[in-house]
Amino acid sequence: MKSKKWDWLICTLLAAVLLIFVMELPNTAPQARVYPMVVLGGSYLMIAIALGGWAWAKKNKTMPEEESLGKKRTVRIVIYCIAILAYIILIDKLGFIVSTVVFGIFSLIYMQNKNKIVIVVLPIAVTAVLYYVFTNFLFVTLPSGILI
Amino acid sequence: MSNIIVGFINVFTPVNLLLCLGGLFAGIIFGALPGFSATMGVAVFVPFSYALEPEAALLLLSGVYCGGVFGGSIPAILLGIPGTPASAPTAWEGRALTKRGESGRALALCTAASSVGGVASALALLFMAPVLALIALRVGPPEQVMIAIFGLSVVCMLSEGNMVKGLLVGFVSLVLATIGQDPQVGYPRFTFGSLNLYAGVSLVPILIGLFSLPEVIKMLETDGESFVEVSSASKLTLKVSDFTNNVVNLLRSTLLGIGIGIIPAAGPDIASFLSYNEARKSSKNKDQFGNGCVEGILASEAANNAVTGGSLIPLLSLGIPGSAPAAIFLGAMYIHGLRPGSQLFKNNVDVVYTLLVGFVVINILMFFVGMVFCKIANFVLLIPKSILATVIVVLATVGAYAINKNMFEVYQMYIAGIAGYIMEKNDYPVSPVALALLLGNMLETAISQTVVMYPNNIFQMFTRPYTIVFALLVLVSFAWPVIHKQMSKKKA
Repeated sequence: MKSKKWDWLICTLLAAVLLIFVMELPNTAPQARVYPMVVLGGSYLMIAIALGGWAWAKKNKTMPEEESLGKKRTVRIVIYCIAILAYIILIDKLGFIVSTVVFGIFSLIYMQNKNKIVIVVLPIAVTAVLYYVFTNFLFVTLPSGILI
Repeated sequence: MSNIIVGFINVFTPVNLLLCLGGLFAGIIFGALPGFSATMGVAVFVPFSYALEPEAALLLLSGVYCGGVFGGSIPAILLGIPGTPASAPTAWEGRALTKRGESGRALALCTAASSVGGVASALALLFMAPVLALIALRVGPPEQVMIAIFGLSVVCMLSEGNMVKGLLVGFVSLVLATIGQDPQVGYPRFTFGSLNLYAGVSLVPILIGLFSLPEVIKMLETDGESFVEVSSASKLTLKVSDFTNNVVNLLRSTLLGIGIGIIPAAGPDIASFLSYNEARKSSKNKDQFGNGCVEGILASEAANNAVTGGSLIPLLSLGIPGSAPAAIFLGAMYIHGLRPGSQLFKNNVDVVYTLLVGFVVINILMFFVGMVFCKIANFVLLIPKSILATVIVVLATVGAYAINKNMFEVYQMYIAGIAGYIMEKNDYPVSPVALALLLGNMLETAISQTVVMYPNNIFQMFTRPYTIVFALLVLVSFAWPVIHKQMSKKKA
């Protein structure tokens, strides 16, 4: 097994999440419990084996050297992920058009695109095309929010 | 024979040929966009077909169907983001080829393989529909249990070298697949009081998230200057040796695709993974898989397009759709006054044979239309990464929303994306998620139906001949790598 530094945390978190499913089992109809119990059992078995493998690798110092991303890059990634989440949350509040244009401009600047015309025109153009195609051709009403 | 000639004459009218081409163009666009699918494309075009004659309508929808299944492979190869779940194996190999500067070769291979698989299945549809339909009748819940287990065995193959983590991901994904209404009594299970979870987790938003967001996040791993780096777009090239060296692979993948297409509820997604798995098991170059292996692309694409014709076999002969787009086809046929079944071939012979011949023509045309699309799409690689990343995030968001017009799907996409990135960074294979979510529901439904069929002794299911055949396939699937390894050791 390829053991990594964070395996113990991932497996522990998974075990905790699956525990929520286990606790929910009594609320399930009796006929519908067997299959989930089997797959939950299989999941816990694999978690136990994975944790065992991690512990063994740590004890025998066979875990490979891992190249870290570095604090700066990690922060850059985290900020962008938060920006995507903010975009998704704001679609409902501000509407698809406004939030997509704002996110598009932010994303291009954040990724250091230096072309000012692209930074302004591209988000507006992409948003307009998508809005038109989805609304008029695919009949999918995009969220309108409080603005547009 | 005269019916086939009539079919040819009807297909090669200017209007019908235009509809075939138009359907292909539209279908490829639907397949290429994340969040969209062949099913959605066929559904969108059904209203457009109201004004058309029945033959014309069915040709248009066939073009959309075939184009949609093929279209998903274009972003899979260029960006590593499959447009449809069926193109996930193509993404693994095609993206690796793109990184080596061989995007043109990957695209050309994929187009040719899709066309080959599609033409073969169209010929099977044309000449063997009634015979193959009898097999579809014999496939019941016990056989579906074996097929699902066979499909899940692919998890083991795909996790080779990292079996424990692969199986862990597989099992956890099977747990996620139990969310929603249970297949026996329809009681909500693991919904935690949320109405959004009554239908379970959505496969397509999760796959969009798993494949697209990690690619975007990986673009942030490089330093600032390289955000505007551009990759190179290579010419579309086809080597004859790529096909002459893969005759058996193509034949096997095509037959697998047709076989899976015949089985109701199985679709191009399952065929693609199974075929990829079989190609990998039989390959003499197993190490190349995952690093731009031509065999993998050919297997995956031939199989997923071979499903298209196969899925229409039980539809036309028995009125049983073999896939989701085929189910929409069924609706379109009823709208146009056609009743699938044995009488269809007697009462509407002109329409049927126009469709059957048209399917062959569409899959041949798909090669040329596909190459045009690929030539244009190849230039995506020249777009700066800053622009690509932005557009991918927006498209992924809109695509996930468009499935059920629900922001909950978008949140699922986002969570899957973050989880997918963390998984990749920590060597947890992503592919078992797709398989387990695809097959988990099918497995549980088939098991519960089998238990109802054989309440006293479930092992009675092995008295069915097709169940034994599929069970043997499962055993061979598990045993073959071990046997092959022993044989290689003895030879050495």
